[in-house]
Amino acid sequence: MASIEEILSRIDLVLKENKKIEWIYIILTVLLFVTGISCFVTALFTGHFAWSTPSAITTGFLYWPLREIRDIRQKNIALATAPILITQLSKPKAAEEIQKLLHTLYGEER
Amino acid sequence: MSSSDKTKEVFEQILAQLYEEQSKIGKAGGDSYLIAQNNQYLGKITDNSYDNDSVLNEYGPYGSQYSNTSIFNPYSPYGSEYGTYSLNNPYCSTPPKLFINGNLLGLISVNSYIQDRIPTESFLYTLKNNLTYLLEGKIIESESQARQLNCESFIEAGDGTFLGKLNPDSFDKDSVFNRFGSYGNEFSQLSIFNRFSNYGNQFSSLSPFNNFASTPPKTYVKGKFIAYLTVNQNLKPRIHPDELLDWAKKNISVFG
Repeated sequence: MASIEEILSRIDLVLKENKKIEWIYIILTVLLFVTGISCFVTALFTGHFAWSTPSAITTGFLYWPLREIRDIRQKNIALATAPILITQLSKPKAAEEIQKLLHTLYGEER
Repeated sequence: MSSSDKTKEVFEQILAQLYEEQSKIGKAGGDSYLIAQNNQYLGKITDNSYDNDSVLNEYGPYGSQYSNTSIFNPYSPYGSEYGTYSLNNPYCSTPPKLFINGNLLGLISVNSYIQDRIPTESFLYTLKNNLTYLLEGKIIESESQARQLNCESFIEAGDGTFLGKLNPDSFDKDSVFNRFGSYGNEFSQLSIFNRFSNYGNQFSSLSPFNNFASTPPKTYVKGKFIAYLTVNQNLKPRIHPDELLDWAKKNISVFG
């Protein structure tokens, strides 16, 4: 079995990668939001209300990135919990809890 | 997405390591257990599903779908379709042995050429639904009986051979409608669509395409006999084999 240090470093690596992806999502979400708001403000100032259509559409598009951000955060919390489970619990209990975490995140099917 | 894959991957690696460590601890013989032909212990047959060594403990090293020593792990050598010691590999000649009260009861395999074979379906059904029966050294005899008790929809040949599920989903590997699967492929010996096989030619008494067959395949829906699958007009109730797919689409759900 890999040592605790090896497991921890592997988890750290994945956490770091997840953070990077989370930031990309956040930046793109903000971009979408700003685009929508700009269109809305333009509509108000110019009086051409057709400009408000893109803002409605971009707001709708925010659903997916926000869901992804939430999912990544859940995974990060689970990853951060894993080392505690491994170090504090007996091996059978740690395995059980980690498997339950996996089921919560990805469902029961492999 | 790659990040989610890596999160899952790292969890699976940790689990595999934790289970590997647990399975290394020596096991006492003499009771009821499964053992692979490379002498890897594959778990205890016990009614206590909280026992860490139990095959039925889904969080134990022998029952978890993430453990490399589990017959329930679809990627392990003991549970995969391609595993060297697997009970699910139709070409495996070294499947796991089942010992009940210290006596060898048989070899669990889907490979019908194995001597003293206990069909995997029958074993798993008895294990999950009638453990007392199993601990007495008895197994629900045929694969067909297990499938009936499992409320499956399938075709059974007159000699008791399983000839595929009636699932209209053509991607189900066991479906008779999967043209690339063992039961729907026109070159497979177990397919009713192979015009040269025992179960598909015009002259075999086991074939649905023989006008005079007295023992054609039977169709079961949710475990109950529904009709013969035959072109023989004297047998009733019957389903014409050419109308099987339309009939299945009307009567059987893709989800079983």
